[in-house]
Amino acid sequence: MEPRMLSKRDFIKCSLFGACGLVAGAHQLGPFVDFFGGERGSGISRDELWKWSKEALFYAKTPRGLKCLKCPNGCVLEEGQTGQCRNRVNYKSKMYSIAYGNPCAVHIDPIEKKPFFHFLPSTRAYSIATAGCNLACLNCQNWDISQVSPKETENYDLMPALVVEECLNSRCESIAYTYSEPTTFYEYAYDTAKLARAKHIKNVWKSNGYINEEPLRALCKYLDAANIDLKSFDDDIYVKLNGGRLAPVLRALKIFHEEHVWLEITNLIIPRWTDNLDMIQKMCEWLVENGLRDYPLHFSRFNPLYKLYQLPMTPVSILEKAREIAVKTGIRYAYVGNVPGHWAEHTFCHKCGKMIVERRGFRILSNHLEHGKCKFCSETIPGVWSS
Amino acid sequence: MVTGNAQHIEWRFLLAILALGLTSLITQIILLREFLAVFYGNELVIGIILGNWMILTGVGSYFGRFADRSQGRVTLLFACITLLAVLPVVTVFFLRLLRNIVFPVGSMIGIVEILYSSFVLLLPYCLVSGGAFTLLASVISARQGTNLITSVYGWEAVGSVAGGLMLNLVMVWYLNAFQILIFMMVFNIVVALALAVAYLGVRARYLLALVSLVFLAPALLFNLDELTRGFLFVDQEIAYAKDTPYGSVVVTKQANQLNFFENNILLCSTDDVTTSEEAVHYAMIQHPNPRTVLLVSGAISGATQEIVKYNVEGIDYVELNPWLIDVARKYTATLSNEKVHVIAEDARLYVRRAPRKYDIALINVPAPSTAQLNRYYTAEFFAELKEKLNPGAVVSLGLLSATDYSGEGAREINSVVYATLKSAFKNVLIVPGLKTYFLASDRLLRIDVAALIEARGIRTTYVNQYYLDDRILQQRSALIEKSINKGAMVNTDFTPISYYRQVAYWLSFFKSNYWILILVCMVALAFAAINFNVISIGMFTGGFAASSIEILLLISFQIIYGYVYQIVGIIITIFMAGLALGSLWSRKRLPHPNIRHYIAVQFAIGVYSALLPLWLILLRNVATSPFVVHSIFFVLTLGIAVVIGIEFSVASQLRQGTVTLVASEIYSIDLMGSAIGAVIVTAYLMPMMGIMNVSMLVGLLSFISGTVLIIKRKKFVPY
Repeated sequence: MEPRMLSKRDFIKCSLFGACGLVAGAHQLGPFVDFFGGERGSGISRDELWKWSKEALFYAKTPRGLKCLKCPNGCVLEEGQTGQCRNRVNYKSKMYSIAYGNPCAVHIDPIEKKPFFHFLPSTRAYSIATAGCNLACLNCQNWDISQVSPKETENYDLMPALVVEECLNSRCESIAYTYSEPTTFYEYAYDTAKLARAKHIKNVWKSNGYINEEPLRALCKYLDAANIDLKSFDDDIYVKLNGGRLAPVLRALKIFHEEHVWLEITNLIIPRWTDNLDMIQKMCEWLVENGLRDYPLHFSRFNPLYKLYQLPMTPVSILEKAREIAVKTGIRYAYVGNVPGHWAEHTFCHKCGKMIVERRGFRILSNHLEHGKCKFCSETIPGVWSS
Repeated sequence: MVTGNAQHIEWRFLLAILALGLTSLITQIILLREFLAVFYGNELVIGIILGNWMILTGVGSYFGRFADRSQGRVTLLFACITLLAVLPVVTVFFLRLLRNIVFPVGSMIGIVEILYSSFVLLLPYCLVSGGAFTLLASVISARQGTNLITSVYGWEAVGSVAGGLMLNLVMVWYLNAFQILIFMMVFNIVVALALAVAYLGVRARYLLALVSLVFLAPALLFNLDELTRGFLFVDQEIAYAKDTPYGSVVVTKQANQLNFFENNILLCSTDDVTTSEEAVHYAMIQHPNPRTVLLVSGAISGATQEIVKYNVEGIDYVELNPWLIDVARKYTATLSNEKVHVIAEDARLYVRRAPRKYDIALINVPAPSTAQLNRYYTAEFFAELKEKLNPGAVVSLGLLSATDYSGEGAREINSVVYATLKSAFKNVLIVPGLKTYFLASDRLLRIDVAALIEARGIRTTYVNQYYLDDRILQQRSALIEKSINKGAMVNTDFTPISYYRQVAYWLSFFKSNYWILILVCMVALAFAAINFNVISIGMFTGGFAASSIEILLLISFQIIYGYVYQIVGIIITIFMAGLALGSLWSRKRLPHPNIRHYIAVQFAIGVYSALLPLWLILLRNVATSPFVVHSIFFVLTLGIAVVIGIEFSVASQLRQGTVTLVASEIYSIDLMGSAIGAVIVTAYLMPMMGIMNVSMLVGLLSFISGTVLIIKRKKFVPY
């Protein structure tokens, strides 16, 4: 005999009972209702313009749509589309930045935190960031900003002039474009930097260096210092770990040098990913060969974060070995970062080897520099030591 | 009673049924633990893996019906048992091998990837084990010329009980995952051999010899555990590895650094002063004269060395996993101080019976990503803790979040934790560090930590004026506090909202929608409602109720009493025993059940579920003796399991068709209901509706199912 099937009528009955049950429990299902109850955040969809939109710099019209020329991702946006950085939209055949004057993170930080060790030590940086990034690192420490759009974050209303004013009010020596990726809020940073320069405020750029030549050279006119994350010296690792490529970052380093922007380089050493000492050796050789030996190189300790969590921290001895390799290769100033109390936080004269800046954290305990020169041997120490 | 049924079954087949139950339970628990360690152990992932397990086993048992067409059913059964011997070891081997090949080394695996990779890896074992059930029911019934599905179901449950006892009382304490699975391999090969000798030709024996040579010999010759851990901990030397009842504990060495992992998640590395100092000093410095300290987990990172800088009288260090204490003793100096008093127990359980009061309580448990961990973040726990605190004591706990901005997910969790702490303490202060630390106290709390450390003359490496600027700290603290939703729900034991928030936050890493899975379940439910006959609907809701109630009982026990590994194991075993008992009893006492019996069972489940909250409230408010709490939980578990067992038995007798068809259909529908119950209840309903309401909802579903049966009963034609 055929199995007895439930009739459609019975199904409707069952559904009605089920619906009654759900209604009975509905007051308990707040989060469920919230979720379906309209759009979260600003309530504005990404492709619409808002107060914080400004026509973007550096883009071209192509038969396929608008091509963004800001960074090597080279997104081509059709009408209504948003770039990979989540900050650029094609609206009525014009490209707009939707991250202009709406930072989600505004903090005051010691300049050493960026880190800058040879740029106005012991000063404070008025630091801003909007949401968005043009890379997607598995180990991002600011994933709540970098992997979302400005329309998904809670933002300040802080137009460039106000940033400069706030910086002056809080007596910071510099404005830092930092945390997420400033290349993605280029227009905002550019206009702010221009105003800041006029008020004698320094502009510092903390970035992944993933930017095209033309926008970078234009920006360099207003930048005083940049700290670039050289995440590894292997294109394949860049693709798999960061979602980018190595060559554009190396090109950016050379441009900063050519444009006389003070440069510091950070290399985060991640176990299994970027801790190959041969690779570090090659990286240091490249830096020296390209005239970047005078710029500080910070080897930073990895701490499991975001998606990269089944890994240990970087052993301190690996960081020390990397530093040793750098110094032997000819890098004049190599530091160990994220290891509180480590001796390689101090600055040692590249000529006489004596300690010239004794640091502990973000403070300077003793300073043996006079007018940018070593007190012991009078050698000029590369850096920007006073404003 | 039991032997009465067994008389019909030849002993070799009886052995095969017992082996199936035993192997399934042990393999399920071992594989679940392995998957959670390799993937990520939150409630949603547990639900997905259990769901995949049950659905695949259900599909396997459904396909088992095609065995009727096969000429050599015993040969097929022999093949299934041989495969069941081999597949668990192969599955764990490939899980560990492929982890860092398929996915980026050390990276978190997204929910969709977990869904499909656990599906693919579980597929071979679950299909075979599900198919083996139908096959056994079919072979045995055919040989005896009568429907013996109930006996097979009952004896399989007896095998599960034996498996549960063996695993929880012996195996997990002394053997690692591979040793357990190799033991099961040997056992199943012996069972297959018994079948081969009696019913099959010499070729079957050669095949077994070959299987032993190819799989068993290498498994015995090589240390598979060591080999495969090497795949997981790439470029690290494994100094210590132990599968403990509470999860795997591994210590690796890299350069001269030691790394401590629990379930593959880094607990700490040596030379990490930031973590150990932040977890201690932010709270300790708030108290003018801290004398007694309660440290819940986290000693391994060196917290005790920081605590003793305050000249305390004593530190009571509570750690659930005793093997972590062993590791701390073996590899660090953290427990060598005579002021440290070690207690290997669940902190919830300990806090209730703590003999003294504390000035400081440092809670270093992981984020509330499971119902079990949620117990350390509830209003009830904070209230119990406060009972054991001196006036003006300070509590600290930390949650991981992004460095410079808290996104919506992080804000939601922060808000719940903040509101919950506020329910017990006058003041809550947020200190942003490597983690976001929450300090709670009835005394005024100060954010100028660096100045306080300086004034007290405490020597620290990181928590001091050199690394912390009090003004900046104050600004960042104020920003986070401002972002907190002051009207957020309070997290309670029976409405565990924060683990839902935590899982939602984790999902946001992958841009995954929390509700995708529930939509899948809804589609399955709609399919079930349209296609099932009346008996199937009963089985489906029965399976749903069974898994839901089992989960509710397990979580409630941990809330009301505390977490004790053996007791939780015993509750699961009692559940299995109840299923066997109900099924075999029904076979004996209800040889010819009718639809009224079936309706009665549905209503019994409904009444039980609707009344369960009353028992829980009574237990929490009245019962104080552990004996009473344990006994009532055991009886409650046994009660529902017996009813479900009877339901299966009655359903299999009422359902018409061939034995294979009935066995495959009922078993697979039961499993499908259980799978959907496991996922929906743990991941969605429990945190959102609360345990009491879920129990009543399950009751309502059973009443609906019973009502549908009443409506349909006149059309039902018994065979």
